[in-house]
Amino acid sequence: MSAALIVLVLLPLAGAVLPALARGRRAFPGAVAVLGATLLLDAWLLFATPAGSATVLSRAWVPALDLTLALRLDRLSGATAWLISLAGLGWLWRQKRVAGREPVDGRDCALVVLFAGLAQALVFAENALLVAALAELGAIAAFALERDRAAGDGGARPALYVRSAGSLALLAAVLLVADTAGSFEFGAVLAAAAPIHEHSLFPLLFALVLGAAWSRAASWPWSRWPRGAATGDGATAGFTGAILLATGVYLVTRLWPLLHGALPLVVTGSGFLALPLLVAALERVARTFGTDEAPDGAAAAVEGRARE
Amino acid sequence: MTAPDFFPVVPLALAAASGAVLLAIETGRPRLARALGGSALSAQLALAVVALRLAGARGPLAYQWAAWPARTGLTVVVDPLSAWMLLATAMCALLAFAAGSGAGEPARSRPESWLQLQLLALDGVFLVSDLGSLFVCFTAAWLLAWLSVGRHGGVLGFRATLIGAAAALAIVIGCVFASIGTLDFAALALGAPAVPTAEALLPTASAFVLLAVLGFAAVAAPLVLWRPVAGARVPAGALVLGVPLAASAVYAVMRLYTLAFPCFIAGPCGPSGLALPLGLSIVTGGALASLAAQRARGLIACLVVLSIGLVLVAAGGMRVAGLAAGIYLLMHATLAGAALLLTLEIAPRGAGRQGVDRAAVLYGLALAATIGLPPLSGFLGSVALMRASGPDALAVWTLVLSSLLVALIACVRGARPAAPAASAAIDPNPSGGFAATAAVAALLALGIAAGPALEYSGAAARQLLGRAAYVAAVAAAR
Repeated sequence: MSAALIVLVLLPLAGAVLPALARGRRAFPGAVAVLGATLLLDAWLLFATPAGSATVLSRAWVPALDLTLALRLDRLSGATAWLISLAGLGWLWRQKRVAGREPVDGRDCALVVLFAGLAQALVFAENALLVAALAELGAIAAFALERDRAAGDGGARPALYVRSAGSLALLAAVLLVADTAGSFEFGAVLAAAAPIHEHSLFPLLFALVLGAAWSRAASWPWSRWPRGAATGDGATAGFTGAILLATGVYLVTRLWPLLHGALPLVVTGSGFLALPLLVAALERVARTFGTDEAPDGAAAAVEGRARE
Repeated sequence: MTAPDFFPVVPLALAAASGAVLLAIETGRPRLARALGGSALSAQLALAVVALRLAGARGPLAYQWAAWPARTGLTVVVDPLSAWMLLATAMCALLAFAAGSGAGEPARSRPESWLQLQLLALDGVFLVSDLGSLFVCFTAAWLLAWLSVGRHGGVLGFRATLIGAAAALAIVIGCVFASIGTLDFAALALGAPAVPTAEALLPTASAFVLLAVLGFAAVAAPLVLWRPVAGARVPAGALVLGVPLAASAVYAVMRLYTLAFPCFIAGPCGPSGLALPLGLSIVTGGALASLAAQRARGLIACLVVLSIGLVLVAAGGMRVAGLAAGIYLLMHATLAGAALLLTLEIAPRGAGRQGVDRAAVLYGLALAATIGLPPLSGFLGSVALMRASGPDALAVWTLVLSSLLVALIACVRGARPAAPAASAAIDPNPSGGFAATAAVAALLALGIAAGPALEYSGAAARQLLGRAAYVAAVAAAR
């Protein structure tokens, strides 16, 4: 099972090269094959893992930072990863329908596989520092996927800023937890729930974790793209938003032994909805006052900067 | 591993000899000069690796150059920190050579002899063990970098400011000599604690001013030297050694405030109390300035300033863990600055051609590493910095994380490679691609090998704060 878990994590990350290298019509089947194999392997591992048990693998990377390449397979991580693979396949299917007889862009296929792979690696990561790193990488991959579809990158950029801020908040929270628990491994962190609860900075830690999880749902681009457009842009935002949201919910669920009792569950859950609404409202206010950057101006500025 | 007693002086002797030979032959025999220059720089890299292993295994190695009295020094010392910096500088010089050794380069832009002379001055900063020689080497390194940019028609402004900074440095060194009676680091380490409290005002004030001047020099190197001038096109190869020049100022802070002035760093009012706010203000300033940068080269200059600020923040507390993070970040900042310069140079040219994606990916990787995106060296260094921040954690974490976010925003807003139309007027440089790839590969290697690198920097930090080994090695050499 250990070998299968390593293959499962590495398959989409390494497999993203396949559609990137494939030209024309071969990119789409390559992406489907990689994500399909991931989905099947995930399902097998999920059913092979008894409830309440976990497989943990660990390999040191930077001992001075206590950073390990550690993986954990249990029912929660397996089910979340399965959903992520399924969402990736769903996006590919939709792109094929939109493209019709034309080939689906190879770059898009590679990015989707990479993005799904990063999200999946996040849910399998046992080291909290690794989780913070993968959260940031996931935000960057989502930006790369959304960028070409949002008008002048306008919608994708604010989403990246919010998600990156959330990732940095998660990094701060992780460092804070490690100071108390003495380790970045979830096993040790969750075992030290009581001292963490009693820590004077627990309210700050709670706010940072919750902010990081909520920021995964930063679906700002939805408010920017024209409704009903035939290009399928909103679907991509929906896809990236849904997968990142899944990772946010996973994070809260994984850390629930630390977080429970601080806020009612309904408040914790409603934050995932409230944050996108809040940022969309703020963005609307910003547009009203004309502080937004015009797409043409952005492109001209980039050209101008490069002309030195 | 054994080495002759004179090993610490070999990098300086090699750079001086090859620089002199290259000056004589580079006009008449350019091919031979290029071959000799490349060989000498490769030998410097090999020497740096040997120095790293020797210093790591045996501690500081000292060699007294000529039998001058200890008051004025001229003892050359290789210790883990100076070997680390020798390696960073040798890599940058080799990258600069690779970037500027294209067959189509005009004779006046060939960098061979300049690189050797710049390397001589920079290695001098890292190897000498007295304040007077450090001042001479540091000023010479600045002057050579200045002229190297100037001969391509680049920036030659800010003369008064830089002369003022050099004069302030000279006056401060004079004050230290007047109050303690020596400029030798080892002698300062022993003599400074013996200064009576009533007479400590002058050396303490000198230590404060010295810190401010070195902080200014670290920031000024990228901001002044890389300032674009209308009508001039300074090749990246001529600018790359500006990065170790900035790093040398931070190296001097680490060296002086752990070894020479240890008694003045204790307490909240000592220069140590100033080093951390200085670093934090440089980090914040670099991040905010990157938002306002109008040109790509301005943006990368601000990002290098941010990286240099992170080193100061890490080392500011003068504790082992912080210094270890700072030493690791010093290598990261040096390689990241070189990679940014070299990849930016090829990024516009690649647009619209076969190599467009490779150039853009290299530039993106260099940017990502500089602004601390995981899992690259900038991220690992920042994590090490934050874990080591101790009692100042709240201020350090808030400012460092906010600055990294602002830098990310600045990069996303305006740092992509140029459109094809904008690149048409730039001459091709076939060797630039190799240099940029090598720079990014070195940066990635620093992240992959972060385990051993942080272990080494930890040992270097312990030796730096231990002081006794350094003082004993210098005493034995005499």
